[in-house]
Amino acid sequence: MSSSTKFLTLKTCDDKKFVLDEAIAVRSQTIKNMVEDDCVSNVIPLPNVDSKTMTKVIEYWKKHSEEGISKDMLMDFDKAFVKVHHSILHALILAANFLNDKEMLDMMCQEVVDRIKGKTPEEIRKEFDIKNDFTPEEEEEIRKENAWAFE
Amino acid sequence: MQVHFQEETLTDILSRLPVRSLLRFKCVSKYLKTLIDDPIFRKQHLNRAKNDQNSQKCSISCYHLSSDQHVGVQELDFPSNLKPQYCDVYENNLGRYSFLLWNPSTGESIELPTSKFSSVEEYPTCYGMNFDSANDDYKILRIPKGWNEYCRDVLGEILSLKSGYWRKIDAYPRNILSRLYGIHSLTIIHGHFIGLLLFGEIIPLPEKMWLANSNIGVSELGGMLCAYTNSYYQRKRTFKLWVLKDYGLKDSWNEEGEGNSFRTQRGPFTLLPRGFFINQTITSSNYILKILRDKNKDPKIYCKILALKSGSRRNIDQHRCGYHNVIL
Repeated sequence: MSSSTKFLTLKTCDDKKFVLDEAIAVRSQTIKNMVEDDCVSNVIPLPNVDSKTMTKVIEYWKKHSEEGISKDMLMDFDKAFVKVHHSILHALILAANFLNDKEMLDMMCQEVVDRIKGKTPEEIRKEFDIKNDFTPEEEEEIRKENAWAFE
Repeated sequence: MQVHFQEETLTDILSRLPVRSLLRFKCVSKYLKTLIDDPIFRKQHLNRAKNDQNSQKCSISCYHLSSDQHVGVQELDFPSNLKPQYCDVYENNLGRYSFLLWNPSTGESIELPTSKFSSVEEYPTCYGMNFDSANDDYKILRIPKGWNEYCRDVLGEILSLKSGYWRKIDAYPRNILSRLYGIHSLTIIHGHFIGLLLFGEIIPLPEKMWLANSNIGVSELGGMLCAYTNSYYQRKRTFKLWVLKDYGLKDSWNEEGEGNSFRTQRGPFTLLPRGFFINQTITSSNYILKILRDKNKDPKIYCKILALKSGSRRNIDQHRCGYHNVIL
């Protein structure tokens, strides 16, 4: 009796196709739900994820599905995995969110936290491309109220 | 590249940040300020901080502002030479006595409602405070301290911040009073179990506790009530801890952390256990204790974590405070 491996085909928003072992792909709760509901006949479209990001996601999934891999090895892998440019990190968060992979999302969010916790408001605006919609007076007022946080 | 995280993801990230960073990020944009000021977010932050060993827990202590110092509720400002660590009850003189509860992390303060039972100038008091998570309420305990004629018949009182009412409590034995740390005399477990208030009548203290001539306090450890003594004798600090395994049973007190006396590095200083917390079970070797140096002896107040069983210590980042000292 041989157990047959089932494969799924994922299609990213830039029309690239990824063929992946179902056992690995179901790390995504979104895909798992689709499989369980029996609504995957051929190709699963991922309209919110591009191929570059998906390649990274699959790299993560495969590593975390390896048999016999030690905790230390996984930790080293994770450490290296999150050392990416912030634009990639942000794309990975959006993808992990869409794919509903809690474990991956959690790790990515923690990385963002570690990166931003020591930053100034100016640096935050720059990193996240946020427009300052306070008047200088309003901003000064908030800074004054929380002066110790700026020391 | 512009990033638009979903609000859920964004609040997840924000809830992991220390208060200090959050206060800074309030002036990034109006949207971020609204998110950070949102009471639901604060609760989320509180819940995460509670389970984070590195985040500082709320504590309370009594200060006395000199009587010629007139400060209004809104004018309170954090002393510039200190980093916030406490949520304090301040006594000031505004022509009358009033008590302010102030969160130095956020600069917010409220005035405590006055008690109709007693006027505070009549007797020295000490305060305890704790968060009652089951009822989503902060409770403040006030007990008379000292043995003069005024204090003898004065009962303790407890304030529910949510309702704004004080009520009398009388279920503690009088001989406890002189040995209480006000700040360590209130602990709330499962919403109804209030530490020392119930001692004496409902939960007798472990007998050995009375033998040790030292200060006593109560705390919560992994959901269980615990009591501790703290003595200093011949340059040796001894800390003992008991845990009540089963409510209502006197014999259920288990002595934990025995033999965990340690020598102070230099001179006497006030060593107070601060909010116990553990990440596993009480039987594991990992419960930790926060220690505070007496600010009079050492102007730089800082906290250390001591792993009771392994004896190892490490400093903790004093800037990391949870939002759960926020009271609105």
